[in-house]
Amino acid sequence: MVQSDEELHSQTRKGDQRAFAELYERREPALFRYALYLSGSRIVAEEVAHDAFIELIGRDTHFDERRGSLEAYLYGVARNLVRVMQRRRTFEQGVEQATTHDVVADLIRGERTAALYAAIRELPESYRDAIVLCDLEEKSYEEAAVLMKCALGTVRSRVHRARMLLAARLKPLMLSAGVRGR
Amino acid sequence: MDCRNWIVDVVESARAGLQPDAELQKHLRECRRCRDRWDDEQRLSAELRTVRDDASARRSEARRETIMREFEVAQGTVMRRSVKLAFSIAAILLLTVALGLVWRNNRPADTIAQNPESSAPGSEFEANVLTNVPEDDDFIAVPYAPPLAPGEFIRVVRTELRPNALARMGIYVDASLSEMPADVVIGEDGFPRAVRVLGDK
Repeated sequence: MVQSDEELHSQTRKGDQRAFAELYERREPALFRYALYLSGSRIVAEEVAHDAFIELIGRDTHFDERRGSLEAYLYGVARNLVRVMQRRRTFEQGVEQATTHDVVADLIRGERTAALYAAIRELPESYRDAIVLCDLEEKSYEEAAVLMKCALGTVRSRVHRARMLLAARLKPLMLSAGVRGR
Repeated sequence: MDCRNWIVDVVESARAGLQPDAELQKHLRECRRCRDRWDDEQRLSAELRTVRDDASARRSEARRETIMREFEVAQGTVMRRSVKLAFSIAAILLLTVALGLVWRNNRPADTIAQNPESSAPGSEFEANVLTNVPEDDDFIAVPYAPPLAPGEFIRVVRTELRPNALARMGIYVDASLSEMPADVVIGEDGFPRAVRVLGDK
């Protein structure tokens, strides 16, 4: 039987390393991507995902099962950590360049990716969360509504508005690069 | 159905990576605005997929090892904290017991507990001493004095006694002697129970 996040967390607090490893494998990748979409920086995202789990195993963790799911808590911690780092202005601008053979193509793609990250970052927070969870993390509207603690219809309308804003923002760049929908 | 309703279908089809159904296709052919939106949504979905793939490409072994080490350190810290706490409590208890024993052994004879039965073994010994007036160490029991009650307080008073005072206690010494130093065991009632003459002045 698959254990819930909360059960794994409870065992982790008792020193069960296997439970912690399972929880980490299950939640860390999504947490990293979430932080990456919010910050646009892999370095920041790595740090945020790491620190969120450090917070979880620390003595002063504030997670309370009665107030929501562990997943929502982790997203909240990650969001706050990204905010803190943004305030410190310590994260680098743009995305690290990929290291593949076609350098020019990678530069162009890197530029477009950076522009998309920047556009996501500039969205209002509620729109940003909605599009990150639904379109990048591929959560259903129902799951996102639970994580965002709002109604399903609200999530859908935020996703639609966020997409409209992103499309408008990125249109010149996408047209010049000849991006075609699949 | 007006364009606002079609837009919902446009966005959801693009998000899901689906081709528009026949009805929507018909509308897109007729409506320039919706067709533009469809193109925008298609492009955006493609970009988001690229970003999603980009974010997912990542090696994780080193990170995993790091966080596991952090976990072990955190657990070790908690364990060390618990051990420290346990040692601290044990040390406090030992210190308390040691101080109690020292206090018991050093307290004056006239503060012995009145109820020896409820006391520790040390006080039982003292009570026995008290109930039997010591006749060793040169103490001489005063004849006809009432016996000490179990656990009764006594005081040992050093004083100077004249021979006639000793005689009143039933202890006869050479009458020609002057006052002589003596230890007198006195019960709670103030009556002497034993005397130890310490020698000529």
